[in-house]
Amino acid sequence: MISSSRRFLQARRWAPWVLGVLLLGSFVGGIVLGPVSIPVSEALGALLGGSTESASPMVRLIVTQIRVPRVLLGLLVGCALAVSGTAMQGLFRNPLASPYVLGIASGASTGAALTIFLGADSALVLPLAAFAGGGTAVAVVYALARGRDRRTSVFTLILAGVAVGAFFSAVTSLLVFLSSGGERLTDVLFWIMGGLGRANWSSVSILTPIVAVGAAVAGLLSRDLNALAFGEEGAFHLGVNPETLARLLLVVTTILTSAAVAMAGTIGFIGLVVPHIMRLIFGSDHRVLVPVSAVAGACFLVWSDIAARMIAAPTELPVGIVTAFLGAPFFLYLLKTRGARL
Amino acid sequence: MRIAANGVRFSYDGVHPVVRSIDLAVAGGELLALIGANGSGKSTLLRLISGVLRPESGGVVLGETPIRDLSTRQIAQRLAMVEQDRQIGFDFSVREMVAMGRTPHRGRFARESDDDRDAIERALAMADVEVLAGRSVHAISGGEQQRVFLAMALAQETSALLLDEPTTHLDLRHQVEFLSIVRESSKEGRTVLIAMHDLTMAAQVVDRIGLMSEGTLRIVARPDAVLTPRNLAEAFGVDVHVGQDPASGATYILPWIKTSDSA
Repeated sequence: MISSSRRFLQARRWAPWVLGVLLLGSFVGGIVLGPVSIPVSEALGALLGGSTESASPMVRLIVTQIRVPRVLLGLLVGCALAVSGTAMQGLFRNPLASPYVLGIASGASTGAALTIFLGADSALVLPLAAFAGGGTAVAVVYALARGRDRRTSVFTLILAGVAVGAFFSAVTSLLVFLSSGGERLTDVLFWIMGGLGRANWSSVSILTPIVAVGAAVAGLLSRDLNALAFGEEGAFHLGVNPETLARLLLVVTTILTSAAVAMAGTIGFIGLVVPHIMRLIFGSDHRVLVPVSAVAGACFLVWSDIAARMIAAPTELPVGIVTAFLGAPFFLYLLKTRGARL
Repeated sequence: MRIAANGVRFSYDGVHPVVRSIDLAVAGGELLALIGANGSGKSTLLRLISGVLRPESGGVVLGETPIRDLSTRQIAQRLAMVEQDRQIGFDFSVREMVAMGRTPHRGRFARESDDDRDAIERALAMADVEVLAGRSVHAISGGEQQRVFLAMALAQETSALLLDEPTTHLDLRHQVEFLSIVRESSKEGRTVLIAMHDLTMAAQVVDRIGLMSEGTLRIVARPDAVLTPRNLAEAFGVDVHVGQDPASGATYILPWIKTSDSA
């Protein structure tokens, strides 16, 4: 048997190439595949501008105003969720941690449901309300978990996250119940299940700097996440201040996750499972794990979205259903064959 | 590097002091053991000296510098710590783990320098875990894991090493091996402070022993001056026989276990 570390080292060597190809493939695939297939040459023509013969105005419109922003949004949201998930699992040293562990998803859902319920769900108000809801949930969790000695225990954080999440879920359920059927109900449910249908250039341009900075900061902290694997005191003895690190990670993941959720609803599974799958392939070194999870999460969401658009075309499935359908069996397969412990 | 605790005092709840005004000076290159009953304050004193805890009053000085003037990273460049059972949250290889001992010396994205590589190889060899380098830390025994933690601390290349009951869960062979590595690292010039329960082994390997009880340091002296039946009866509430092995001259501590028929 090849020792685990040698296998990981081999995987790390080819990672940049495979992930690079995967990223390019996802970008192209997301543009050309869909209810209306567009030949690569036409898509290229539409993208590069050029003469009008290379692509019809219709194709040009689909490519530049629908497909490209949608692919970019998918890449950004997938990246944000996978990076947050990696950071959360590292912070809590718990395989069940996900970007939603601190109640962000529930809080954001309540915010979004509230705007839909009140009929104020404009393209600007809804993401803002969702972002505010997610941030509020984390703020409450953090305040609750902060002990009298001003120290924060990660276990209290998880417990408070569960409680606050349950509370906000109840509020959302109440709003759904009160909206008693009709279009609003469908809107709320669809938003909760998550999807990239609201993609446009403004959502992409808002999310791009947030995800770029957030992922970069998570990458900067990856060495410290390694030290944190030995507990808070273990990290301290390696020269890493665990309190500062935890605070930074909470801020980064909250902003990344809330922003992603605000634009695309609560897409499950990516933040939980992509880091695990990457850990099984590349090992636990966060300096490798954070970047590969970022790219893999991005690609995974784009392909899930392609599937969501095509499976029941012209009807679109909520992408969260697809991420679970695709990811769960693959994850179980890896778990079984690699027999690795989490 | 000299380590000094000057009048340190600490309580976890602000009411019941666990460490009451302790003065302790460990000379550079010295190997000093802290002994005492459970709850006597050994671990707390070590955590105060390591900087994890801040004393309510008094202070700790590493070399010439008060620890409160040092950043977390600067402390880790001077002082490494091995505990009884530290968790390992993720599945790293032994080599990866020992390499993390270099964290306080490396930039965030710095590649492993020649110095780093030398330190890691030396630490792996010294702690006798070279053959495990490629293995997963979750796939080796507890005794081996503890040696890997020691290797990680050695790779840190600090001038002081703090050990909090590092051999408590180890079998006899692993205890002996672990302590001989500790002894050797002290001969290399490291200042070593170790909390331990095995008095007979302490008597063999350390330069001086500090006996703690109820948050105070009762006596700090050479092993034979500390390990007397009277001192030990006071600190542990147990009758012991202190003897000397005729062949080697080594001191051994034999506790009397009272049973109903021995009365």
